[in-house]
Amino acid sequence: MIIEKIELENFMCYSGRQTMKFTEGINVIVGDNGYGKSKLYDAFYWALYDQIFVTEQKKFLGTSEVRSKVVSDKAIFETKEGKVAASVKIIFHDLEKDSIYILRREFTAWKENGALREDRNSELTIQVKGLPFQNAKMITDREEMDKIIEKILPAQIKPYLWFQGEQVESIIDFNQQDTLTRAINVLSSITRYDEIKTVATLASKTARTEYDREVRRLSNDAVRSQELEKQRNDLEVLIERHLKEETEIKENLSRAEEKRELLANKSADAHKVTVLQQKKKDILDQLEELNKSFDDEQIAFHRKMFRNKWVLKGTRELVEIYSKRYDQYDQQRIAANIATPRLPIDVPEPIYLQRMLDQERCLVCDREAKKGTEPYDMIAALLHRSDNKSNLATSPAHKQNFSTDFKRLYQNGLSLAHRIDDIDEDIADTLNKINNQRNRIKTTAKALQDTEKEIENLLIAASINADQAQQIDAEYYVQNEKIIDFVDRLARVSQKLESFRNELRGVNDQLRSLVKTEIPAWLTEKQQVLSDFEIIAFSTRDRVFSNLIQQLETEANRHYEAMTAGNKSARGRIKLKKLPNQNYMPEIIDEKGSPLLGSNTSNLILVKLAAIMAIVSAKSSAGIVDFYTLITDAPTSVFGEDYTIGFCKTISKVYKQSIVMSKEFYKNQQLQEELLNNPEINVGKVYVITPSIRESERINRNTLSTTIETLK
Amino acid sequence: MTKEEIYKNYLKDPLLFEKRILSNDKAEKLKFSDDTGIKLLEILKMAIDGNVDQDSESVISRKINAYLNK
Repeated sequence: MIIEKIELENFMCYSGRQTMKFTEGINVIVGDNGYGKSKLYDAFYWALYDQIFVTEQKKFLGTSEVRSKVVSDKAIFETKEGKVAASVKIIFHDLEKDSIYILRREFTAWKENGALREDRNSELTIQVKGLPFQNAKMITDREEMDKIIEKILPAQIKPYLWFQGEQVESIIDFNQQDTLTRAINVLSSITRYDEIKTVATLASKTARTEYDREVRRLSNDAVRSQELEKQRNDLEVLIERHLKEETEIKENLSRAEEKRELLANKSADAHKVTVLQQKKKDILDQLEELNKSFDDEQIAFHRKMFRNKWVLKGTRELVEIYSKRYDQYDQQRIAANIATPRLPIDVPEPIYLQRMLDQERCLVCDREAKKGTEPYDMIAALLHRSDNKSNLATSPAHKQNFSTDFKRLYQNGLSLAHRIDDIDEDIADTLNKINNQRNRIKTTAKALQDTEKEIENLLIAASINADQAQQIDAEYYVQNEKIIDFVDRLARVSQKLESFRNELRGVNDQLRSLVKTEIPAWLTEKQQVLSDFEIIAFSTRDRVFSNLIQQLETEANRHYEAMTAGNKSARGRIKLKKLPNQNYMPEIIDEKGSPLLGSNTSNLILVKLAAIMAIVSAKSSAGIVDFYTLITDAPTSVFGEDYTIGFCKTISKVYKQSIVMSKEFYKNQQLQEELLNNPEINVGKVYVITPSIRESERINRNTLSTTIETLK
Repeated sequence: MTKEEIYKNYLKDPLLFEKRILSNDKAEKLKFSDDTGIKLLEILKMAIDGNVDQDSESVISRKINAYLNK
């Protein structure tokens, strides 16, 4: 069924009557943004399905909702009074039967006193010519008209043959696991095998019921039979339930694996970021501690001026000066008979003098001082000196006795003097410590800076922010855990199913053993034959489907390679990956079979288009590409020149007829030349559409019409 | 896909060879129109026939059961 011609009359931007003819091969309508390419796509769609795509609402709406919007503004503006109508007529040619179908849809409005009165609905007429030379016969039966539309383009394959560029995303949606499987089911003959499976299951079930009824009838022990049948029913219910659970777990497992794979690319980086974030946190804690310690040390530094006697730094000379002065003072006191010439009172201290007496030994010169000897008496005299101090005379010059205070100062000085020598070292140690702390703070701050830089670089490379990194890492872990859990649960359910099936076999054997007479041979044979039929139906379906997948993969790669031939970037190859829930998803892999992640949008769109083309062109697809026209609006909008030409070459080889709206050829003369002259492109008609509107009147569409120029 | 092609796919099933219902050689030469006398193959053809002729699944199943009841 190819499209021979479309005639537009006052349809949207196509004011007046406009015609475009089409042939086999790739027919291209070229125009810049807003020139009417999508409106042409709308014309096809409106003629068959009474709908146009409303850009503002991003959805298709029926004529009853859009009404006079389908009519050219220019036609409405120029009509003063009376009828103004928009129509689209398409002529389809069934090449197999050589019959012609003429579809015409019209919408009418009336201008009355400047106001526009609109019909609510459009009107569709269909004419059929059994053979091209025959007269066209009008079809009035609504059901027959629907059948003809279904024949022109079956509803279930429409999404894969008539689509706008942005719809490619949803035809095979990487986020919806069953879209490819659905496409395969719709476009290939695999559904036949599914239907035969259903027949086999039904027939087998009927035979089993019949067989079981016979076993029950022939049983020697009706009571026991009944018990076993109940047991069997319960087991069948359990098996059914576990099968559902198994399916559900497989679905969940599929989804989790899918999510994990999506995250895999970024999770390695995200994990690194998480680890680095933790490292950063530890460094920050360390830095805080170091800073606190440094501050404490700074405060302590000042306190040490007094606690560690640093104030005495450089006072050794003062101690010596004071010692001399004190000695002079003491000498003067002795000379003035104020003090004894001998040692001052309490020097040595009384406890040591007493010790000497007790030990009968002088501790100063380390000699014996036996009791009764002179040394002993002298020591005793020193001990009892204080008893005699009232005998000491005082001179006017030494009226105030400061000897005790001076002595105390002298003694204090003596004790502090020992520490003066250590002060410099103490200060040096402290300064060293502070310096070390300062250096550690500097090093730690640098480590923090480096870590932050590393984190920043990772985030930029992975195109994520810190929060996302954390989420990805956490989510990857969660999905991983889910997968482990689902795999485990799947194994347990499978085990249970095996056990129930074994039990069921046992129950069936027991039931059969209760039958003492012969079960009719034909019945046993019937049950066996149908059981075999069911097994073969299922395994053949799986085998055919696997082969189909392989075939599709090969075809898809052939188309993919053809479309990307002109481009030099890495493209990988297409793999139709089987998911645990038995769905298939296309992915791009490298030579090792690992996913080639990070492919650009163009490649992904081409993968989807290649997959669709593989399905429609597969041998088992009932000649879709020969029977039906591909109509697509702006599928090449994300492609570069190489991909655009590759796409055109492949499309022209795969589909008997295609109509492609594209802006890529509009200003690109070279690309246009390539399209028209490349021997590998089976090119049909090529049109260039441009709006015809005066510059001063571009504020509205009252004078808008579209010029169609035929390039080929 | 023709009835012949669909039938050929079923004839490749390993169960037919395991149960010695059919040999490889015979499977390759067999045509859809051949009367095999093998009940399993005949009901396969009935299922294919009915499916291509767009009979409902229950109708096909009943026909098969009736055939095997003879």
